[in-house]
Amino acid sequence: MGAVCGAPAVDAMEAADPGAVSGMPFRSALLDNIMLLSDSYKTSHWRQYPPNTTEVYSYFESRGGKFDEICFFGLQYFMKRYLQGQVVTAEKINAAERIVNAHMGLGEMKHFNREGWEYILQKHGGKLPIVIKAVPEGMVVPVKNVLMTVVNTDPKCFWLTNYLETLLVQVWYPMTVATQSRAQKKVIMDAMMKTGTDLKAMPNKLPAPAKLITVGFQLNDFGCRGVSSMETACIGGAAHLVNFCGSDTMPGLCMAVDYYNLPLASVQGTSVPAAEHSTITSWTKAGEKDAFKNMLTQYPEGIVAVVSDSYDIYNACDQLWGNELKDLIASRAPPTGRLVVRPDSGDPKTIVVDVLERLAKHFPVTTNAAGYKVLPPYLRVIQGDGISYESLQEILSNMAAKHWAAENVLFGSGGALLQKMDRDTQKCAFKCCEAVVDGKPRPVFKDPITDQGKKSKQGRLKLVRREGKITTLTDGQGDEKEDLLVEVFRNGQITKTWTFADVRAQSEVGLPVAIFDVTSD
Amino acid sequence: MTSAWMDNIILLSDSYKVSHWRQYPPGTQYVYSYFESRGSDRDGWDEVCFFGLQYFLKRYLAGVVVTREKIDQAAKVYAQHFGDGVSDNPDLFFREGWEYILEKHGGRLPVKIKALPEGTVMPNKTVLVTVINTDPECFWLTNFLETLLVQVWYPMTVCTNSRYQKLSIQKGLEETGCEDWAPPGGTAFKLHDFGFRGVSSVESAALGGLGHLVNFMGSDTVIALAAAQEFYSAKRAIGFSIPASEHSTITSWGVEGELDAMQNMLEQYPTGLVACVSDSFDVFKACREYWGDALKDKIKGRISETSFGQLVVRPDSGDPEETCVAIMKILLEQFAEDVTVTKTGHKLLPPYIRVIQGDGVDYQSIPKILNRFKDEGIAAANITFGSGGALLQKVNRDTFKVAFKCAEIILEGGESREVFKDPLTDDGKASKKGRLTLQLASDIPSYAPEDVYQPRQGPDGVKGGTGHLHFSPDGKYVTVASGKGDPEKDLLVDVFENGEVLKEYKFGEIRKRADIPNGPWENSPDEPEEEEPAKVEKAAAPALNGVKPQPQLAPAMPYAAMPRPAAPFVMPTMRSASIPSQPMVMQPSPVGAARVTPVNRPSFVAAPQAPQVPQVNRPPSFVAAPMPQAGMTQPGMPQPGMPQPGMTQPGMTQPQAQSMYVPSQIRPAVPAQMQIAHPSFVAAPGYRPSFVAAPMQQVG
Repeated sequence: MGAVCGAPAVDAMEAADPGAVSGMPFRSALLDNIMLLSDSYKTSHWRQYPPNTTEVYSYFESRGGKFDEICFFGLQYFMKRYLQGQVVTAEKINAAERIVNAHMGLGEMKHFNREGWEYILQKHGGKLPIVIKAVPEGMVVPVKNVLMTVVNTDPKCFWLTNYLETLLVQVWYPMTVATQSRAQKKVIMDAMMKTGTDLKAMPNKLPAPAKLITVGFQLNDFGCRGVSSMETACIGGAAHLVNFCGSDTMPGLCMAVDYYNLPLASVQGTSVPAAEHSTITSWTKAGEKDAFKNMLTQYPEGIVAVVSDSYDIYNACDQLWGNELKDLIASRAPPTGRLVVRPDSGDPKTIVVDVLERLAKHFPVTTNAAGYKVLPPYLRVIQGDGISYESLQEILSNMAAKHWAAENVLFGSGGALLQKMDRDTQKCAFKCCEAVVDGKPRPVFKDPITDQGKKSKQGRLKLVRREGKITTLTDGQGDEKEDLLVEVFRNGQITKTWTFADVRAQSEVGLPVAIFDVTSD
Repeated sequence: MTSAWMDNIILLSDSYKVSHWRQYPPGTQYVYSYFESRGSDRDGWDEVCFFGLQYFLKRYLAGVVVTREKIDQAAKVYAQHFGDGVSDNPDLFFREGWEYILEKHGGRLPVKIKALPEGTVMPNKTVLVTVINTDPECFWLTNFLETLLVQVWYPMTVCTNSRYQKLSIQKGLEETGCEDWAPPGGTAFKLHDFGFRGVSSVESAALGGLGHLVNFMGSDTVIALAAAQEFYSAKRAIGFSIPASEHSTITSWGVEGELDAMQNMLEQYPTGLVACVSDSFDVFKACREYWGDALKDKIKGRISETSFGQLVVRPDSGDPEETCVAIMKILLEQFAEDVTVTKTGHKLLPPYIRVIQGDGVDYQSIPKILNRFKDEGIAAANITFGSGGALLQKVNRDTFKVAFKCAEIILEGGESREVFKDPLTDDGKASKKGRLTLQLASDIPSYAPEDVYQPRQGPDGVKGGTGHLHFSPDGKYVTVASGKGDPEKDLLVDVFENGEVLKEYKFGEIRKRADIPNGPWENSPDEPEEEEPAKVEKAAAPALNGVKPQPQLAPAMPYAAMPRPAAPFVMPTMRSASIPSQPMVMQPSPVGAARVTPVNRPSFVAAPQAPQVPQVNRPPSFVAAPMPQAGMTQPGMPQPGMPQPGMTQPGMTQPQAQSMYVPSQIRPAVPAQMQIAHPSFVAAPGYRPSFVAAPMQQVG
């Protein structure tokens, strides 16, 4: 724990008897060494800047991509997890030196910058002498604008700014997840409004004054198993929670609580009991009905979701749910008692409407004011297979074409939500734009003739609002006071902490309805 | 700040799994599940290289993973998480189940995991991992672990992705006359990992970086080296890199200063390899006017009787195929006087200059570029590739359609029940039934036609299909379902039981298992099971060239010092067993001393001799040749009868010396004063091929 951030809600438990934890799983300290959290070639860069370089100033931007605006999120995690406090120690220097020098080159010279790191240890107590300024987390910013700047505060540590690029650029990931998830929220809200749902009248999930409109459960995170590691699950899962509250990715929830002070109370009701194939198929094919019935009786109240495609989704809808178990479903106590039927295979675009049509044969369907069909309140469908930003739109428009209201279907998304994106999705890059050499600032940029899109900005940068539009000023123009970038890190200390509520409030600017925050209503 | 959440196995799962204990049939005692690749969404990718499970076992599952504190923590979170919006719901979380594991099993997980040996290449649609609970009370635990275990898809997919690229590079090298297959020639350094910044987290970088290193030796993802040491018993750096510029270190010299910046690179690194990004403004001008003219003599001068240096030019924008060809043509023209021709007539740059393409490289662009090279008369050995996002990020669980499914349950009284899914709406999602073994097809001597698995025939066909023999498409392997296989012949190995890791794979053996024909490790010896005792040269070698011996990091220290908010970290006994009780001191070994060999000549001069001893001679390659080491022994290699000046190592008998790996006698040597013994980060006897010069010996 660093000194700056408060004790996380869950970590702050009393330590158990130390004897009880012998033989814990293996957690490597080497993976916590800032000197190793970089590309190899960066260990050689201190020799490569012009002589008498004293400052390197770099910035991070989205150079374009799939979405025209991004939702900035995730930097605070990286700062708290890897940058704050004393991150350089003598042991870590030794460990890093051994690895770097064994790894780099052929032994003809040593590349590890021992003197540089020892200087940071001695002069700065092992804290990183840099300043980071960044867009407030959650803020929505058009692409091609500066989102973060980094500069060293000690002239001897000019090499440090870009040493941190590798780690800081990983912000592309939570930012891209949050951006895409937000775009999906817009798609869903739009479809709901068009098919007759009054978003503002939707039930509030939390007791006043807290607020959580149930739109927040329309897209659920199923991505934990489909991401590339548990840390990724933490980061990506939290990024989705910026926009929604339904999530089965427990590590994401934990990250929001630990690193963004999300009150544990506001994770209230963010998932529901649900079957998986094994808990249905283990009853055998002949026992599928018993398995279904068991779900309804084990969880007599509230919402329960049941995967229904183990053998034949149509039979499940017609015979099992629609006939044999119909009364049990209809008798679930309002307002929250509800069965959610989950198909999990087939073409998502058509299977959803197919399932709705099947269920409509057996359950009383109403028509809302806009003329769209709605299942009874005790019955919904969740589609959790093949859901992406693109397929979501196809499904919703197909539903609308068949006169089904969007509110009938909830969605779950795994790989597409948390894994199927990369740094090119929003073309994220971190580039040096100014250096101070011989005491004089010098604009720095690249502009390859082989790709005009890779031209970088130059000079000191500010992010400002001009005539209602967010834009970037280069070459030191503009007034400090109008800069939207906020100093978030200085010399090892986090100087601005965002809460998850801050982040969500920022991200909801520009949406038809704010689902989280009473004050912005 | 680290979070204790990340170490709580009870929270490392999908939420809904918490509710599953109530959902199995009454009397369920055992749940048996398996992990497979159901195919691939990429054409022709019909096999996987299994890799990465060991990381998850050691990091998250081994030892005491359930404590009272963790149960309390999880209970609190889940009660809120499943609440109805107003009040908590403590009823879903199976507190009693976890308490039982804590009390009955001391917090160790009562499951047994079998898996294919890591590094094994296996056709898709075969069983790769099986999991079953060992305590009937804990039937619910098997699939609770699915979420975590399925994440093995990632290192496995990266490893396979990287391996397919190795195959296409191999093809390119073969087709353009490469004859030098032992590292650092051949494919060993031909695909370099640039992916650290482009992955979604540091942990993913470590895992993905490891997956790549199974196939190659070039990596800039430093954290993967640490992970190899920590989770795969690597004794020293298993991947290598070189000094290289980035745009900022070039552009900070100003537009007018680009030439100075490039010159500085050559001067700062007077020997060895150095890579320089050259597209800051105009890559063609840089190749023709800077590298190919103004700095030409300097570049050529880096190879001499006494030193070896190689400049690696890096374009970083434009269409990869067109840019690479254009740059190669310019460089071949500018350095025409030293260009040689391979046996297939393809042009090869002199050894002091090479190209690395690190932009837009993936499994599709590599063969495209190399095909163009072949057609344009350019040898593939001229180029190395670097790949970031495509290597470590642009993969997903669907790349190999990875799934984890329940195949059998056993009820009270011992009744076993086959379990499967077979959705009408997707034939590709049918799962295998019953107890599974993976066997060589040759071990199934005879069977009836109806024993061969047939998927459900049409909508009304038999659900789950018929037959228990799932042959791989190549006919070599068979997954035997329904418990009808022979456990003695099972290729799956017990790797985990009741909290203990039963089998530990070392990186060297994984690499060898995963290697391709003519690959870097095809002929490498397996790593010895036991460490050679720290011995012999204790006092032998004085510190070379003023390099002071580094005190060996006592392995226990950093772990103990790790920030663990909840409880002090104690190393699992499994690991402690192999850790020497005394701190190790690293000293240069006599192997290092042997490296101070008589000077050889630049390799390009003698390159035409290569065909005489194809396995020994090596044309220049991206990375300069390794220095001779005892560890380079390649059993089965024809013993070169050529003179080997200076290759005999002190203390070795002549036959040993002859049979060891012998780099070309024409290799340029690093001058004696430059021969710095590498402080390898873990001391280890030099029994393994490595490119780290002079491995350190532990003195203990």
